[in-house]
Amino acid sequence: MLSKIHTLIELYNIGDLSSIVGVLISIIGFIFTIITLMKSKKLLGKTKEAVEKSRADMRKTDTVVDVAIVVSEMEEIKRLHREKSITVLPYRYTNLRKSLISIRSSNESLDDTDKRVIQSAISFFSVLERDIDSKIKNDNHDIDFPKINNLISNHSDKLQEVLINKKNNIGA
Amino acid sequence: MSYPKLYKMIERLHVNTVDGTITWKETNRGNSFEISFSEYSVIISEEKSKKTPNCELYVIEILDQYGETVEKSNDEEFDEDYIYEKMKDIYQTARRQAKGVDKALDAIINKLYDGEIPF
Repeated sequence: MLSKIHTLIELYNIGDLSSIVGVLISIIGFIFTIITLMKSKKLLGKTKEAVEKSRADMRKTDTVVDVAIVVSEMEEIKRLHREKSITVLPYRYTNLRKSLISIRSSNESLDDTDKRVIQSAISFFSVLERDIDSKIKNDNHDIDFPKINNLISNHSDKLQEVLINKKNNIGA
Repeated sequence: MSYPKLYKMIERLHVNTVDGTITWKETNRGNSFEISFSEYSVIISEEKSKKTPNCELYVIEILDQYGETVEKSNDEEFDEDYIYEKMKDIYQTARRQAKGVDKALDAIINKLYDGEIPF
């Protein structure tokens, strides 16, 4: 029985054929593996892109939240001006300045125009802090708060523009 | 004082202020105006001179990214007289810009050329 099978294999060169088929299957398998690998690579690239985009969106959201906090802090300072709560003001100015410095240094999504708006607010509150400190020291309470509030509103409006731009760019 | 970079900066500020490429803003002080770049601010102020009575003194101040003063000089500290003229010109143009005088004058002049009859 076994010898008959051997004879058949020899007669029809089945051994050679199976080797050839084996090689072909290996080649097809190899091609299939390469295609799968390429598809996986493409998919990985797309995933990386999506992760990077969502990270950028998160950074923009952080900027929006931080700027919104600063804008509301400016409103609070204007209220304190109206109440003429002079002694607490330098502390509030320092905190606001620190928040603005932190926004500028920790948000990569800010462009040059945004940074100029922030720098302008930093210098404004820095000068204001010095002036109010000096007035407190000299017991001079002659401060033009309506004018200061008007200028704070200008800075607040500019920051609001930054906030809206960033908000509109989230997910874009 | 002979600090070439400061001269250069004042000259450049003068050119850019006069041609309107930079716009100055009001500060909380009535006699000071500021311009901000992404990491620095410049403030120009007019004060009364202690050296020369009845004469104005122009002060230029540079603030860093933290709002700290890194440089403060006035026109009397410069050897060249033309710096006084430049700083005075910067201050007066900055004042007109910040107060909106230039804008108002442009609008009125345009309306007058258009033949608009005022009430």
